[in-house]
Amino acid sequence: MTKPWRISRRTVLRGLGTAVALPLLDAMAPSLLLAADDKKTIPNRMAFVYVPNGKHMPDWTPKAVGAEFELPYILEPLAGVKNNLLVLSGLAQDHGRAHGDGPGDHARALASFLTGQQARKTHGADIKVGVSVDQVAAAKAGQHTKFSSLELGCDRGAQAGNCDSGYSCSYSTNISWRTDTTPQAKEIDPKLAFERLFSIGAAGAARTMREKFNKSVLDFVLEDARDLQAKLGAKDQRKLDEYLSSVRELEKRIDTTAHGPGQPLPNYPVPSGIPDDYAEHIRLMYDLLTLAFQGDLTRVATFVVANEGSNRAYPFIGVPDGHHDLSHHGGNEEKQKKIREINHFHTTQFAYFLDKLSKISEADGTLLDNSMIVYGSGIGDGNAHNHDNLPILLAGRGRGTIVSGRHVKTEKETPLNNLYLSLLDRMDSSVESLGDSTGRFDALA
Amino acid sequence: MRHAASIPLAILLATSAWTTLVAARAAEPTAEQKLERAEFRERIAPFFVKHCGKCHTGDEPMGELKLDGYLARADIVADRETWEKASKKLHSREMPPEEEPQPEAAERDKVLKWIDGRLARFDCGQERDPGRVTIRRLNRNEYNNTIRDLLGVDFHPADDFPSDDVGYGFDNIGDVLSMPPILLEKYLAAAERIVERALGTSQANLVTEEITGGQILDGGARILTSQLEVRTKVRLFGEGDYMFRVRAYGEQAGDELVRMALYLDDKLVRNFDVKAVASNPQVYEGWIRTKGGHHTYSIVFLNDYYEPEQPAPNDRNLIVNNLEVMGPYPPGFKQIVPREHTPENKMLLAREIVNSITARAFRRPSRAGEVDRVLALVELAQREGENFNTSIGLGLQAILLSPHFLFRVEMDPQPDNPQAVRTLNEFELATRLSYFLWSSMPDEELFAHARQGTLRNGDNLEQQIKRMLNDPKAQALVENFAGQWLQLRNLKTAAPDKRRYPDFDEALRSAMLQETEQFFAAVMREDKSVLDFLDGPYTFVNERLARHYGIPDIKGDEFRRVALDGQQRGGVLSHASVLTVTSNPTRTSPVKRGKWVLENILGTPPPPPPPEVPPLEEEAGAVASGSLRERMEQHRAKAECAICHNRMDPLGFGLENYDGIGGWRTEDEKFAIDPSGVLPGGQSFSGPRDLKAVLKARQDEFARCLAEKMLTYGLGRGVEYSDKCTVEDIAKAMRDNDYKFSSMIVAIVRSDPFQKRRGTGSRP
Repeated sequence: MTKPWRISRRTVLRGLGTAVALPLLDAMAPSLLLAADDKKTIPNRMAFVYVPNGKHMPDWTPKAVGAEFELPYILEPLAGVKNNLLVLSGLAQDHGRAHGDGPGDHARALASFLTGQQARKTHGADIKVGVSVDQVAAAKAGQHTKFSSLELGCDRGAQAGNCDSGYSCSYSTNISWRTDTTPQAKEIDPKLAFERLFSIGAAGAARTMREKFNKSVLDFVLEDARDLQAKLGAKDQRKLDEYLSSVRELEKRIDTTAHGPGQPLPNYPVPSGIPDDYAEHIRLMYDLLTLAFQGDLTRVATFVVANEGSNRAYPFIGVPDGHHDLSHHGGNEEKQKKIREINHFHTTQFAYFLDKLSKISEADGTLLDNSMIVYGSGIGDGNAHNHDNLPILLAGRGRGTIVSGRHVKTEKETPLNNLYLSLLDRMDSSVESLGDSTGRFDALA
Repeated sequence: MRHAASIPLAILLATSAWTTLVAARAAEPTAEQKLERAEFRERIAPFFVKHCGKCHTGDEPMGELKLDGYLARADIVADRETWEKASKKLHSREMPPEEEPQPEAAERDKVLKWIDGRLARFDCGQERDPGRVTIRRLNRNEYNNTIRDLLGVDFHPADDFPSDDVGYGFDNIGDVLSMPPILLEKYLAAAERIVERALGTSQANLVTEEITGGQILDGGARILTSQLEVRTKVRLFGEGDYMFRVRAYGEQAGDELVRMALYLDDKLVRNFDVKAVASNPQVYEGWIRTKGGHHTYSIVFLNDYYEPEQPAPNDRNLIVNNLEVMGPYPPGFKQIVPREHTPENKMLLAREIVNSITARAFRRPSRAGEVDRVLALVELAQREGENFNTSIGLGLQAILLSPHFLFRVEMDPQPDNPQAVRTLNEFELATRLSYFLWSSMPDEELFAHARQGTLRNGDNLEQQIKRMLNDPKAQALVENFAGQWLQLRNLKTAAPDKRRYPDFDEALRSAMLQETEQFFAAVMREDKSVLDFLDGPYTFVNERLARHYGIPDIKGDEFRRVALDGQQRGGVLSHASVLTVTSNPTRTSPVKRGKWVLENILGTPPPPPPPEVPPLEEEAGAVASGSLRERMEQHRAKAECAICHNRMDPLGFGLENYDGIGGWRTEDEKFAIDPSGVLPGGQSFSGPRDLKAVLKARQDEFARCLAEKMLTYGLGRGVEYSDKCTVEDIAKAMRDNDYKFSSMIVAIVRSDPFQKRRGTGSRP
């Protein structure tokens, strides 16, 4: 099923003899660049896009099952990429449920979304949930790229107070978990994310003057950390573990960039920070995700469009109320209408992203063809706080391994993690089980 | 039961180890204890077996709670943590889960009364468990401030870091602060920028124009004989400290040394006696703080001497080899590099510099081998041809990335023995103190005490605390503690509906924050009673906020203190900041406000709503007419909701005279506001002023609540059951000292959890 990966940046650079401001979009047009010696194959990409507080399900779920289905109101913006879409109904994330832990559905919804495990109820003393699917993929598929994974978001972590019913805010603001106790912080500033991706500006400073010494510095601190770790108690050692594993990740990055080609700058204006306009913010993040996938800077990403339980107001679409307040609609029609509009707004932005991916050619297809983008929420209906029948989309064809353009209804209580197992297979990152998975998800093809 | 199987083995093991310990300690029960245990076995245990046994006994208990051992031991006091948890779950009706058979209300109440009665008997006489703080990474604010105080560069490099996660309401909790790769990457990049700013390593000689004056000798040096000045033009990049250097020597004659003066424009920078001779010219340097732009840099020969009649040497001359300007240097540069390096003193100077930075950066004397390892990096850079400052910079970069800098390390001889309690050394204590009050590293005075071991002598701690609270750096306590305790930080993202609140704008948002910060700062710096937070008859306003409050005759943007009559305003509960962050975008939320008061003022947070029950205000079938209050009161008829909402809602109703952005009102959507209420227990109030009086009467609860929050913040860990007596001590110290702000801080700093630590692991 593999196709030749014709886009070699090394070849590009050799050909042009420069590493400066290469317009990535054009340069990546495959017809221009055919390197016979290139044995690489086009990679598969995986992203998870999270939107909070559930959906207004009656306007989300298509009526018909199979290839002949109409897009309901909330999904309408996706009409242009309908053939690249799987609407998956009936999936459940059981560990979003209390299981004796009482309230806290929002915290659990995000914490369990990619892990399929029960978040330990704590204000902070002993945070624990599980390794998330993206990090399982990052550990393997991430070896080939500058960044093993990319974590994006639009909301800062909580700044004060309690987030959800006795759960540390870590749970309701982080989707990606590198280990069962270490969340992956997300980048929310498009400028900083851009600079980091392309090693420019402040984030790229480390590449310049003392680049040749970075390794020596990291060796130095590794020794410090190992020495220190040996002398600490069990809990402190875990913190040093995080430190050590981060140093190693950075060393790996320095190795890849030292031996690989310089990173060409895309033909894209450097963002100037977090825009006031939320839609623009979301789109910038989608753009960066696109650039990262396109330039093969990473193959694994997560994007939390808003933190779980977000009470953001959407006055620009006529919804001045807080999203979370509204989601407890209690059957009130006016409130449901407003939720519908918020949901519609988010799919509109998502459609922008998919449209972008679908317009970038890669080999015989498009970037979207070579991607698997999961979009959804860990809560079904915001009023009921249910964690079954979740709103889930899968966009892209996973390098031709997914037959899309369908609405698939799964058996009730099918673990969402079953889907993830099957996606991991397609990232050459297979695992036997993940969280509460009970088997593969066989309805993708 | 799929989640039961996932209980980690380690936890089960830990539980059984605990069991053994408890059994050993509780070997000799008193007669009273025996009686209680009999009672427990007869009346209490059967209840738990019946209602909880199904899930919480046996080999695969749910929620990591296995009751068997506790039931068998029948010792509520020894196992208080577990029983407190059980009591909470029963009170909140989270347990048994609703799908299981429920105990009769009377039965439940009887059991709870018995357990709570035992739990309340808490013996504070015994030795205190100081608890254990997990190694704390510097959070963003702490990183910024530490860099500022360590190197004298204040440019907030950590603002680019990902936000720190919050636990227990604060973002400085050791357990919660993690270290993902992206953060280390940011540290690496930040270290580079910091070093550049602190050492000016990227600076080049700014003298690029031609030098004029004197006569040119072979090799380009200029001799000043008859013409007594050389000069050049320089362009300086921005205001800052600049180093002017001149390499020169003298031809000595007469009875004076050659003297020269270094000028920038018409300003004398420094005079020099030039002792150097032709065989060995020397570098002379002068520093000046100046603005950027074009300047004239000149060297003037001050004491020309030529007496041809006298025997040689009879001609005194100054020879200038070259001129250099470097800069701008940060204010802290000379503190880091105290002297100019020469080829001879280079490595010695490097050692001195590294030694001093390491000790300050790691907040303790540097250890054997540590300095050598940094110096090895400095030497590496030297070998690679880097200049002195850049080489020092590489060492500094490593220091800034070291876990000893990024984490606040407190090393124990027995890190895994929970019984091994030790008193912190004075460096550790000074560090805890400075991060508590300044969110930054200790200053020289604290370090000096630590070095001499005098920090705990006499009333030194009290003196230091007073000094620190009056230092401008204590603004960190305002921003970071008050910002989180009162949730002022959420003001940044509050989004009041423009149509509903057309008056709201950014100037008002910023004024709201300022008011509360200045108010908190006043209580702190003037060492007032913390009860002022409830009803202090003064506040701080500028014109914008005064207009919002209807306070007349305040003009201009600057804030000033105003006295209040207490009718509408007074205390944080009437601050627009607090009232806004506890509102929904389109209206007030009495529930949120009531909850806020219970959580942050009274320290008795309501349990979260039982799962699957829609929030009171929004329940289906609501009658959509009547005032907000009327609508809400209809729902309070429901017994399961009433228990908690009877506590929350009246508090919120008492604040209904303040709208969603804290403006005063007497009507809401045509309905007259009724700000009266009755609290559980029958206490009633007629409006906000009255409500505050009710709260003030509960000053003990407030003091305890504030102490607990402050202790959490000061320790960087959650306050545990074992800290109960410490909190009581602090509250008592506050009561005995008229609730003075400093009495709370002193009591916290003096407490065992702040002064001591122990090994990891739970203990009975």
